Amino acid sequence: MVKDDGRTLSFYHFPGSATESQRAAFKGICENNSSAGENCDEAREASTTSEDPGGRKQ
Amino acid sequence: MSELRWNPTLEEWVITATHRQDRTFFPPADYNPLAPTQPGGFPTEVPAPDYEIVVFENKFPSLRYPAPEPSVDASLLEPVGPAEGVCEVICYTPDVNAELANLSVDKIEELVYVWADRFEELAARDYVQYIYIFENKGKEIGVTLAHPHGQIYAYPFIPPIAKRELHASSKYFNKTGSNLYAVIINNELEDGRRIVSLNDHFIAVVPFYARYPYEVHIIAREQRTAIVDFDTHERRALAEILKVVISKYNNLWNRSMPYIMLMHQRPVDGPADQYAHYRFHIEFYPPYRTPDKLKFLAGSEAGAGVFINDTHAEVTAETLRNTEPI
Repeated sequence: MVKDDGRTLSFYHFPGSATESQRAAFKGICENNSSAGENCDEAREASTTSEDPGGRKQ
Repeated sequence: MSELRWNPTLEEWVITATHRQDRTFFPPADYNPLAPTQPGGFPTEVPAPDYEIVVFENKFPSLRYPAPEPSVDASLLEPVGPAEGVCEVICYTPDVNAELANLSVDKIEELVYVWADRFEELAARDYVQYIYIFENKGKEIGVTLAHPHGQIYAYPFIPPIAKRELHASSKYFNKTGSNLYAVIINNELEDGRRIVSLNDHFIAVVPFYARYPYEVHIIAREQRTAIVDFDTHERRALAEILKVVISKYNNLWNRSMPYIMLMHQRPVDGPADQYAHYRFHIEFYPPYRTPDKLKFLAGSEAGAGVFINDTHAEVTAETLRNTEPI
């Protein structure tokens, strides 16, 4: 996402280890960010393998 | 203002960044700009009530894109350029009291994935030639924000130390047909005295040529030149050995050890295979030579480029090897 002053900011989300509070915060970021992309709906894995921690980014 | 000024006497760039004089400097304890923004609380750099790992562009960057026009005129002798690039901050955790050493291996592994993602994203930008991932830890290193975080600089040129390493490994490869780092690893495995820790994919050593008393290098055992090259097993192994090394540092004198941690990887100025002679490694420079004595970079180190190490790598490696991870 882009901050008010134009700087970019990326939240990384790992559903397998996130706390409830972190899950809720990531969901809120997706809902409140008009430019939220596909990463909010489906995992964009940080590598092409299936054994990684399943990170998502927004 | 910020610009690149060429030093023709050393053939290297200097970045001026005068706006950084005003950067946040030891903020009060109740104002942590890297903490999540709490409902009704002061706005921090992170506009969310919680986070896991977050990356954002530095508020006081030395490099940015687009970069401002240089404030001075260039000459043939002393070229000047825009300070194009990216400076990012990575917050490892929302917990201000945490540090890399006491994060779980799982959490450090997630950080490895974030580092790899940043490398991939920044490498795709045509004005970036080199991606430098590092962490300054501790007041002794000049850190002004206590919150656990690292940084990434995406330079528009290959920095001098990386260039020297690349030149050396290329020269060695052309002369012998062997990878310099593979030979160093084989020598360390054969000798054994400078090994701090070891797993299937990485070796941690106080190198034979250590410049700082407790300097440690973590070197990839397979031929990898960037963090994006590692498979899932290697990423896990990197997290594991990072945890071991940093925990040993903290256990050495029973206190949180300050350090500079940095990654040396291939440049991103062209095809990756041109750097097959190189090898991914991480270097740690703790500033202490004893529990209460700092190793200062003084006349010989700063002015002549000659480090004087008050210890032998074989001795400090043995001490670290025998220090249990916390």
